[in-house]
Amino acid sequence: MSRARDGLLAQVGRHARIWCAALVQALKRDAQFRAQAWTTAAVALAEIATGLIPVLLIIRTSTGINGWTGREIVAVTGMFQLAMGVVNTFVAPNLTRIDGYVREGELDTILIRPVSAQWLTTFRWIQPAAFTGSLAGLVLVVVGLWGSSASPAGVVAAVLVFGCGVATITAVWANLAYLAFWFEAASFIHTLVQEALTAGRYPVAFFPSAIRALLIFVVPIGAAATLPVQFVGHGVDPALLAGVVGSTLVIVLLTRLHWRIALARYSSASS
Amino acid sequence: MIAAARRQIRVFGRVLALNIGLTFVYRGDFLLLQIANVLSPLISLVVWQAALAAGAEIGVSTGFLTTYFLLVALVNMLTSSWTAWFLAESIRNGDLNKWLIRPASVHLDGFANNLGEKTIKLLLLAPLVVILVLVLPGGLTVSGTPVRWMMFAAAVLLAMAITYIFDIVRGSLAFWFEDVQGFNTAISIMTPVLSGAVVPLALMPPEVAGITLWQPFRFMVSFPMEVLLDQVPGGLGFGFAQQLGWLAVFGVAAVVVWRLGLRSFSAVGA
Repeated sequence: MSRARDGLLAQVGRHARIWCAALVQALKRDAQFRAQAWTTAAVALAEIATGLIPVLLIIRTSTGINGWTGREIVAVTGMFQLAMGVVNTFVAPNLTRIDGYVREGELDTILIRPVSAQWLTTFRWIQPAAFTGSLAGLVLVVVGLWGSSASPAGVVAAVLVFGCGVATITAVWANLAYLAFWFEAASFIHTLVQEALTAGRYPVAFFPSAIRALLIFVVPIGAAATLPVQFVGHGVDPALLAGVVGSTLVIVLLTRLHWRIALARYSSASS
Repeated sequence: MIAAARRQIRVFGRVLALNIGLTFVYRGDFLLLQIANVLSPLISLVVWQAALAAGAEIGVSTGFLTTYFLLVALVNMLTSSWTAWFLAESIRNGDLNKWLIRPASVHLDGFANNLGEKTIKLLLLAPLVVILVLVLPGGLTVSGTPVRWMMFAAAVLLAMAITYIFDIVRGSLAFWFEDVQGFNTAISIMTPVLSGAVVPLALMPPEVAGITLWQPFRFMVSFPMEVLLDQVPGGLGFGFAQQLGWLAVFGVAAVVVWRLGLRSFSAVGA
């Protein structure tokens, strides 16, 4: 238990070092299994290409929809791909394993390690090849926003709100993955999450107002995809930014609480 | 001959019942999957309605769009197939061996699995679609004559056959190639767009109509919807002729590929 008495900084540093080791290992793995890495990268790009088709079809029908120009819509789709690339690279490979950990009792070997088990079940596995999706998304963002007069404050707010959005997506998805502690089989929950997140491909202004709030605060793909473009293109909305930051903190804390309660229920499959 | 056919039918009945039972065990998971299935067209519907409200010029009516997106999940589920993946895997790891020595075809098992899962999926998906039809403004706008619905059913059945047989063809490629799952993943990424499951093909740019109207994926999802909504480009007869044509092409390809493949099969693990 002496580890628990380490200072906060020392603990953060230790976890960061382990994450770096996991990243190096993941890169080496991708370098070794090159065919698989190329396939993963190609699939990420193909998904972007096919995901872009409905967006392009909608843009060509009209010069502007609910205050959004075609190029801004492309930028939103780019932000969506950027966010999903980050999630698919760093978080998704972990959350999809949690029900396996619980069902097969592999969680035992994670719980006895001298690190935060929640952190290890969220960030241990990295899939570097999936990051090509993020890079392609970044290209779309640049294409969409090229020539717009972005203020430094707008860019900072955009980065902040993007980070909050990705953090909340991770937290919400983690909470759904923890359902594995309560129900026996729920592996298709990940399909449902990924399908719901595709709504972020379009600006939240396209949706009825009740769903808009849902997309910004609850299934926060709107916060990660629409708001950064909105802040850069249309100016920062400080109240909205504060709301997103606040709700991110609340959801992350609730996720921490959910993990503790769920873990108390865990009775180890092997004993 | 008749006795053999009766035995095959009896085996099929047993395997079908087995698959329905097996699927029912995972009813919670399959319900989640069906919710995901209606979610995607629902998002498209909302987005396209916003575009229409903003004065977008598209060649179809609001009624067409609403009906299309409400029912496409149902058609997409009914005509889907996942056999390619499992067939390729059984060829690769030698699991196919045990079917080759049995007095029933591996395809009988695959087809029973397809129908069995769809039975449970239909029971879960249909109520979701009905709820959406009742809740969403606009609802369904179909002419609804019995003949129209029967033609729709025929188009759906043909689409099911095309998708399933196409899956046998691409799964059988595993006889010659060690890893076909990459190829199959590429196909399954393209299929939703080309089949009209994501966007009605009527919304595709007219410049590419020559391609979108002739490619086989159209007859897997879009064509049954076009029949129901009475929007078949070139007329019903021509459309059904095209669908039957693709069925014949894939049928012949499946028979040829499967027979040649079995000849070169070296039965891993035997």
